[in-house]
Amino acid sequence: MGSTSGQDEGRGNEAWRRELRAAGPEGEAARRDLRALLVAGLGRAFGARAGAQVEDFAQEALVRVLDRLDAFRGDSRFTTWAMSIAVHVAHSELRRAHWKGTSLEDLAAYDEAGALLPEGAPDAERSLARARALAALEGALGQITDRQRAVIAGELRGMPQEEIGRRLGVGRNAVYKLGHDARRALLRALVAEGLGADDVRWAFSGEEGGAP
Amino acid sequence: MKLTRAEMCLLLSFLYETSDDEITCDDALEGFAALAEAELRGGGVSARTAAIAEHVAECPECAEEYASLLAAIAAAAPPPG
Repeated sequence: MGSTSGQDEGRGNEAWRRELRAAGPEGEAARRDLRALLVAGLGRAFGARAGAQVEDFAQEALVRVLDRLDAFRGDSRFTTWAMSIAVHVAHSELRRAHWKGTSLEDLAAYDEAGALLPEGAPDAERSLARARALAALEGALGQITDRQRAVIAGELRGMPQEEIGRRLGVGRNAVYKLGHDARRALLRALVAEGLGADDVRWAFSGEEGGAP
Repeated sequence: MKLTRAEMCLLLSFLYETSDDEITCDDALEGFAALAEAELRGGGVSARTAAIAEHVAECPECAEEYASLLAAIAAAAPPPG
């Protein structure tokens, strides 16, 4: 993207990367300008929600950007990429504060089955199909690991992956992998029981007609 | 940790959408900038950027971060076209 606004301080992507790496006044000016740009952007995005913390978030983001200069692929403005790191830092810190002191075991169970199911009592065939799917899922949940089950429960109860990871002592990608592996294992188990997507969709829907 | 009946119903509502080639939140974050600029520009996107848009649509945490990125860069965005 060739266009630069005043917020880019007239630098193109390569100039940003070169100057941020530079020692002396040139490097200091680039780092100061980028930090100011991040503070302004975070202020627009978070307003009073982050308050004076935007200064700290921008500083942390600047450190991460400087550590990851080689990871920039050049498919956007450099400053947009840096801002994406800054908003991630800000959200991570705000989530950490929000969930502080809450363990995975403290999380309230999701209990709104009514919102997922059609109104009215299911007919006997559908009721049986639901019971069969739930029994198969319960059996499959017993076959995955405790950590996989903790990730699935944490996600269903609304805890962000990064916070689940903090409690399990792993990063966000590892949490994703635990959850993804668990979902694949559960899916394989259900399919092995003869429960395809259409069967389960029908069982929990209010569609007219018999089982697929 | 044991799941409630309601949680198992919720899990069944999206379990069959699981695919082998899902992208992670960290992968998505790396592509937020290109996606945001494409969205503000109103132009087409690459297959990779489209996959990131799909992830953002399904992941509440990434959706929250992506919305913040759009808000943060709105004033600095290039004009459409």
